[in-house]
Amino acid sequence: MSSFEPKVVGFLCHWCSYGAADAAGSSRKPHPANVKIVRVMCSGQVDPQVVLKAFVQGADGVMVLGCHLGDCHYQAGNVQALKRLRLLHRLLAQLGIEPARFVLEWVSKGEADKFVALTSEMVERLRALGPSKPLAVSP
Amino acid sequence: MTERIGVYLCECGTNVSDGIDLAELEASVARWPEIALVRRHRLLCSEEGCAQIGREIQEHGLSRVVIAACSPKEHERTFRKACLGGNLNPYLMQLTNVRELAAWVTPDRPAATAKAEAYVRAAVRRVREQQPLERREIELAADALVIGAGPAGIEASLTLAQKGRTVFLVERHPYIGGKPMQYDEVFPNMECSSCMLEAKMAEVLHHERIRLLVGAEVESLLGYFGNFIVRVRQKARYVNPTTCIGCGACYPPCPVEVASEFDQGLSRRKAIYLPYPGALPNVPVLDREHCLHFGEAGCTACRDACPFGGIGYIDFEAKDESQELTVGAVVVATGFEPGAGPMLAELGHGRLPEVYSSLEFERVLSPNGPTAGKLCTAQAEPVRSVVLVHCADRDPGPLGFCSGVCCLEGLKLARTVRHRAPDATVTVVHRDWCLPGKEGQRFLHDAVAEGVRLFRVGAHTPLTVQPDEGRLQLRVNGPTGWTQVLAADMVVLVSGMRPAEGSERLARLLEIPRDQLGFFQEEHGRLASVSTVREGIYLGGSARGPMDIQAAIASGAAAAGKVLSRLLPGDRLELDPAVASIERESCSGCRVCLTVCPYGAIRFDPAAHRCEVNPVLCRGCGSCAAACPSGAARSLHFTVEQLFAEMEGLVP
Repeated sequence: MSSFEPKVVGFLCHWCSYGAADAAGSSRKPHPANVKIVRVMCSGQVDPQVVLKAFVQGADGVMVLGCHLGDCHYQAGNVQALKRLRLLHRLLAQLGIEPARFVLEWVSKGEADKFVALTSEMVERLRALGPSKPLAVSP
Repeated sequence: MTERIGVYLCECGTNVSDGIDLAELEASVARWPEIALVRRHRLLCSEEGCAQIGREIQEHGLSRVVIAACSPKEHERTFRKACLGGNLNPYLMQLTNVRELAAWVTPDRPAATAKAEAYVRAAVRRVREQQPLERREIELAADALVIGAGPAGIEASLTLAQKGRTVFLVERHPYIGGKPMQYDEVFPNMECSSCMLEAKMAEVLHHERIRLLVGAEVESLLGYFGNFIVRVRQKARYVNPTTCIGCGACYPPCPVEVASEFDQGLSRRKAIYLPYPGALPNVPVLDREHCLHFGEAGCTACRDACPFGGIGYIDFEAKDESQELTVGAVVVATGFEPGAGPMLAELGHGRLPEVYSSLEFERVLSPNGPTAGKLCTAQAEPVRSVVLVHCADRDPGPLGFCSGVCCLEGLKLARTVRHRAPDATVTVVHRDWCLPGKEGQRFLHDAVAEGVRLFRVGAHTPLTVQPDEGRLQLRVNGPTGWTQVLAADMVVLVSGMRPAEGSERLARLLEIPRDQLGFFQEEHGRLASVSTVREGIYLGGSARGPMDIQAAIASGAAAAGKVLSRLLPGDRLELDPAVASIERESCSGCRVCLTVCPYGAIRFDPAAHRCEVNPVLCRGCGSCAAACPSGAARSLHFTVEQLFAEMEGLVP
């Protein structure tokens, strides 16, 4: 188990969470190298297919990080994300993907520490969970 | 088609090269298919770096470019411009952030290098899927919408129109001038209020650049600074403003009488009426709710009485009209409402007819008011004593606030009574004095010199008003058990300013915040007090907090000044082409996209049973694309295919 290094894809919204990742970078606060980031304009832009695709590609975990509720640059894209991705959670469970492998969280631009903590915790959790079951569906 | 992809690795001084082995990365990338060139550069964002990108795009016929450097928040624009320099569509470039996301945060160099390689691979995969997008420009609308035709709105409109801007001035009442039209005289010079403002009002009416919409309200606002699309609904007036000369022959025969809103319910008006003599525009308005024409009676008394025959003057078939305006900026000058509510009711307001609010008393004193300005009791006897209670609606708790205007308002009313009824005693019961400015203190001295009596009570001293043999008794219950009784024929409750009715709705509609008191919130209370957090929406007058006429006019001018300096005719607005787009062939017309769009940018075309995106209103959040069940809605530059490709590179 200790040799297993999980692969994580994080979808970060341009206005808040990606800013937090940038801030973590400019203050040289390391986050795990296993986490690879995809910039989107809004957490509400994350189509469930894209999350499924990450698992199909062999990701062991997926994170969607958006602005705090009420702070969305586009008013309520994060609320749309919340509604949509809750359903996805259930779907993932049916596909045999443990709920812990998929995280939706809110990280503001100022919360570099929260970004580092969330990504580190995710990697720890996935290390304990082990590799994700291969997903055969093709979205 | 074979792509020719150029990959640029930026050392960023040593910021990237210290953390990542760029030589190794360069060697790996060079082995990938369709890579036409790989370059390392010390500082790509430099002028020289950008020039090199532009030059090499042309020399090597590059069809796509990937840049591994810093955050797109920092230099995406820089590198897009560099691509334009090489005549490459800037949306065929992908900047991947190996500095903030790898070099600076992955202390282990081989791990950082591997991570950077994944990011570059993802970008190379993604860039193949990217589509050229054309930037578009629209001309900014330099015209403005002013909401509210009180002193602030009038001043804003005139200031804008004088500079050649077209102004749509929307007023929900059937007349312009705002609250001062209901006042008799105004402080500090005891001028006739409507006479003072008459010149500006006439200018508004006749200005060729001001389109006045009275009896109208804003229904919706879409878009943004430079390009607001506003829907305004104007209530049918039923009287043609272009033909009617305002002679007034139509009201006497009207058989209906209802309480006059303008006189605060203290007089009656007809169903066809002019709110007050001299109201501008001087055209009567027909109140459909009470007019008998619309009932069974089918009354036409007013039309019959029209000396011009009525046809073409009074039109019972008139309909409310809704129109769409395109403006670049909005000035909100919706004014205030005088304080009312439970605190006034406790002092007998609404229960005892001789207890007036300050606005009601303004009407009592006005020569065009219910008693033609005469001060007399209900028994038509001369008034012997008037008591004015200041701070009548001021919450003494921490949420209370001083409007800073009403002390002068109360003193003005007191002085007017002294002038009109020299035999009556006038007593002002006050808690504090707030008399700011150059003229406030003198005004109090003048009031005292004219015989206005002052009676000071504590901030928490309870007051009660009771009827007493046809008169009123104001009882002051002092803190040490003493009681003072003031006999009065009239008690006037002087109240402060509250947010205008409908402010909540308007705030929601304009998407601007209100403060904890409910007034529209300034961008910054001191540094930016006429702007809001929403660019292009400005505040004038007491819409943003209590102020007197002088301050309201000044802030209306200031708001107009902001519009004039921010919004220049001929300026162009560049539109980001990375917006949503709906494929007509695959759209099922389910309209899910329409419900999630925060900008009203999606329209349903009922004939084609399809939805379509207005690219001028869309801001590219992608909510519609993620929600679309048939994949017809797409986020340009963030398509599913592009994100898929990115992941294939990221998690190979």
